[in-house]
Amino acid sequence: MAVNIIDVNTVFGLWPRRPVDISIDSLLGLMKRHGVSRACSVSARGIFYDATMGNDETHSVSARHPEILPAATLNFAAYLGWEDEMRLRLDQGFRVFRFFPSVQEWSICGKAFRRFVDEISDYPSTLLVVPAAEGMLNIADILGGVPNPVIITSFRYTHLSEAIEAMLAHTNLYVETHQINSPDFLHVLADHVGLDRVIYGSNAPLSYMGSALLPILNSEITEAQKQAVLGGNLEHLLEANAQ
Amino acid sequence: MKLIDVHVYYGRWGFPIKPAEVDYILDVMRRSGIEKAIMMSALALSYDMAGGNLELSQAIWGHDSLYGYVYVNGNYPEESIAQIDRYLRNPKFVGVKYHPELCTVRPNTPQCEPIWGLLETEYRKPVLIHTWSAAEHNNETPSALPEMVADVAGRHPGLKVIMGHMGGPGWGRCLDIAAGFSNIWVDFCSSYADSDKIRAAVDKLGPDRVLFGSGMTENNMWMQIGAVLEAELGEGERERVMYQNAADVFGI
Repeated sequence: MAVNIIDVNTVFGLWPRRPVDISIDSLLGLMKRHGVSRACSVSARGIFYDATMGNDETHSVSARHPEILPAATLNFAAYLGWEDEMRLRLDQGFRVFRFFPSVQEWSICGKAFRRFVDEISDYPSTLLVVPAAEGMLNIADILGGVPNPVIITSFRYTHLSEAIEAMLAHTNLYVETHQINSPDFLHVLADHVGLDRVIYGSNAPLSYMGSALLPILNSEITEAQKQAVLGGNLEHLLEANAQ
Repeated sequence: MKLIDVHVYYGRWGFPIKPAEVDYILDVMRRSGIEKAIMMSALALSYDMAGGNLELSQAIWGHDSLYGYVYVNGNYPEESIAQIDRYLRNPKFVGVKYHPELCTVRPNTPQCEPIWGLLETEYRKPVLIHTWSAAEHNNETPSALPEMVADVAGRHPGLKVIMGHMGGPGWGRCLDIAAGFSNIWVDFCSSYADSDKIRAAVDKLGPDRVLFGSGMTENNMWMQIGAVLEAELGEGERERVMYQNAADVFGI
């Protein structure tokens, strides 16, 4: 049975902090090489420079490449106009919002983000993707229990215990896989929260896509569980979106 | 695909993970094509140097594919030398491991000098030193910066020094520093699978000074295999990184 792989964590554009090719062509090439059917992606322009310009770029790229699922971003340090930007992207059909607080020097604990959470709660089918560096406790306190699914990215096994506790407390919290990196993390998550709460992501092209895929493909979970982690769970959330 | 893994742990960890015994390690090696693994004791790294080295020697005994590092602790230089003398005459032990962040003693402090001198002049076996670009484990100041390790390599040109983890997230700076020393090698295992780091390592150090390390059993073996297979390497370069360089450095 061919596995339908959907990557929740990719980026495209330029990366000013390392000389690495993260062009859209590079991302599409990796997807083809690894059999990834769709990838949720965000423009790095929106991370480093201007959210609106980056979201325009993401919108344009996803229109040209249907395999790219567009993720919008908002910068709460830049602040001005974020409400209009949010509504514009919702109107355009963006159903994933990603955040990069440490790069942009703000925190999800701030007032502006909390107001965003209040507003996005009116759009409960929108997925929110947040980095674990904001703190599991903060994520649980601020985003736990909102109607939106929240996917926590980019944490190592050292934070797995807190991730499990946060997920046990709040059923809307999910985890993305690429950096967890302990040999049996899938088994531990299966035992404690269930693999329906685990979503494959790679951070490609910044990170090796194969480094994120092989630990799942070679794990000793069932084929059905692999399918769920590699794409089924995210597809289910996105289908719920569409409805 | 043949592999020698120069960075394998034996023991237990303080995060959610099931204990991994030797049978598990051998099974993963068989499934992933790893021919030989060089292991270090997690017990020795985190708590009991002598007890951990002894436990490791018993674990690898009788397994042709498993080798060991003797762990040394900079807080106990005399005892460390005794550990070296006890184990490095045993052909199953092919090098020394040092973790400055866990013992909080920088490798380039005077108390470590006798250890490096002994390795350089008498045993002539490599040392794998953990490197990281910032303080870890809630330490206030860093003890495992690449320049500290390079300082050791500079004062002991006959000593083969491996920078474990290639500096972690700060691998670019690590490579810049390592490039100036012909007796420094790197292994690239970490949880940061930056997609340009293996190619950059080969470009800066040459294809002979980059080693495959997985970080198993703390880390997922497949993460590093995925990295080295995806890295933009020629087949000759890949074979050197995955196998031959380790065979040459450790004589196994």
